[in-house]
Amino acid sequence: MKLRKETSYSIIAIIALILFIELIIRLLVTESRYIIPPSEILLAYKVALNEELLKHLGATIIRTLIGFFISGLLGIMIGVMLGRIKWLRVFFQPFVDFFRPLPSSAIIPAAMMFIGLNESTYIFIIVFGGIWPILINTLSGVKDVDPNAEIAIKQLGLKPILLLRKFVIPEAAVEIFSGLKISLSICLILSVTGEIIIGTENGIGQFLKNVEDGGNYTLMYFSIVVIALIGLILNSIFSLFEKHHKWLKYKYDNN
Amino acid sequence: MLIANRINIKRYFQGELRLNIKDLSFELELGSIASIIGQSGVGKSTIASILSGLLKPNSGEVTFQNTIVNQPYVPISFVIQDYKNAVFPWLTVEDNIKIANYKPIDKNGSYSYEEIIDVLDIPHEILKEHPNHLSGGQIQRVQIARALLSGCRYIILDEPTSSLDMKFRADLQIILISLVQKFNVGILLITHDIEDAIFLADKVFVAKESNDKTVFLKYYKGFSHKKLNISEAQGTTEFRNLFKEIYEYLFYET
Repeated sequence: MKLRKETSYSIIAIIALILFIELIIRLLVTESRYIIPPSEILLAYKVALNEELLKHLGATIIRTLIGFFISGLLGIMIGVMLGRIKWLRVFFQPFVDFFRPLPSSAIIPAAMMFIGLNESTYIFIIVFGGIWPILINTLSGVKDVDPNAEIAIKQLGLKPILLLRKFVIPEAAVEIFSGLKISLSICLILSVTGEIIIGTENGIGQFLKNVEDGGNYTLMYFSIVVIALIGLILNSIFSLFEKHHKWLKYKYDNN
Repeated sequence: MLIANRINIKRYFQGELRLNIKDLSFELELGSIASIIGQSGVGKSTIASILSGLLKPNSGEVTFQNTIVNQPYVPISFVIQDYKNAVFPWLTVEDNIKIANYKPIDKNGSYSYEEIIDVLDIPHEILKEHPNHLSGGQIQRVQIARALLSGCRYIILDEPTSSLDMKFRADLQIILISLVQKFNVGILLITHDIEDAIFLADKVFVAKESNDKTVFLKYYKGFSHKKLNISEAQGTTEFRNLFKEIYEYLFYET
C-alpha cells in the first residue's frame, strides 16, 4: 500500500516536471531547432517506429543482457574465489585495483585492434565495465561471511561446493544482488556508448547517432527518452526478481 | 568415546600470554552428560573448540572412536553461544534443519527427522516459517536438530542458557535427558553456572587458573539425578554439598 502511494507520487512528480518544461519552452522559446517541447518529442514515436526503432532497440537490449549475463557469471565466480582464497586475493588485488577505475571507453581502440570489429567487441567492452561492481561486491560479501555462522555450518560436513551453494553465496546474496543491479545500468550505458563510438548496423546508439547526424533533433531526444525508459524497465524487472528470489525474499516479507 | 589426551595450548593477546592450558586429559562417554565449569576467561570455549576440531592444540590430541579430531568433524557438533547467527534467515526452519541432509549414523538404530523434531519439541507450525522470529531457545533446538540430522554423536553446548529465559533452562533438562536416552548421544555442557553444571552431568570438570596462570581441570562426580527437576534437586543434601564443594574450590581455595 505504501509502495503504491510512493509510486503514484513519483508519477505525479514526473508529469508535473514534463508540464513545467513544456510550459517554459512554449512561453520563453520562440523558435529553436535544438529546444523542442516534450509533447512534440513524445509524439515522435510514430516516426520512430517507421524508422525501425524497435529493431535497433532489440539489438541493444540483447547486447546489454548478454554482456550483463557474462559479467554476472565471471564476476560472481572470480569474486567468490578471491573472497574465499586469501593468497589469491592478495595476489590479484593490485590487478583489480588497477583495472577497476579504467573507463571502458579507454580500451575501445585496443579492443578493436585485438578482437576486430564484430559483436564480440561490444560484448567485451560491456563486460569490461560491467564486471567490477559484481566482482567487488561478491568479493566483499563472501570475505565477510559471519564467522560464527561459518562455524555452525562447517561442522555439518558439507563438501566445499555445497558449502558455497548452500551457505557462502546465499549469505553474500544481499551484496551480490546490489552489485548486479549497479552492473545492469552500467551494461546498458556501455552498450549504447560502444554503439555510438564504434558504430554498428543495429543498436539504439547507432540510431541516435544517425538521427543526430541527419539533424532530426526531435527523434534524437525521443531516443534518449527511450534509452532512459529501457534502463528504468530493466531496473524494475531486476528489482522484482530480487524481491522474489529465495535468498532475499525473507527481507522483503518482513518489511 | 571422546578422548582428550594431554592437550596443551597457549593463547596470546598483543604478545601477552592470556591462556595456558596444560596437560588436559579426560574421557567422555556416549550416552552420558559431562560439564565443564569455570569463570569467564578461563578457557572453557577454547577447550570446546579444541574438542570439536575447530582449534588445533599446540600438543596433544582429541580422538573420537579412534579418529583424530583436528578439523570440523561431523560426529562432534559444537552448538555455538552466539545463536542468532547460527540459523540462516533465507531458509525456512525445516530447511535450516535439513541443510546438510545426511542420513543419521546412529549405530543403535536409526532416528528420523520427525523423531528429532519430536524429541526437541520444535512446534510444527514454525517449521515452514523463516527463523527471524524464533526465540533463542528455539534457535538452540534448531541447531541441535540440524546437528543430529547430520549424523552427530556428541554435542558440545557452549553456555546454552546464557541470555535465555528460565523456561528454556527447564526445557533443556528434558531435552538433554531425552537426547541421551533416545539417541545415545554424548553431551558436553560448557557453563559458568554451578547449578547447571552439576545438575544433569555424570562428570563435572572444574576449570581453574592457578597462581602461575596455568589452567587445570579438576574432576567431580556429577549429581546426575535425571528424574528430579532443578528445584527438587536443590532441596537435596547431595546437591547442596556438591554445590558447596565446587563453589569453595572455585572461589576460595588457592
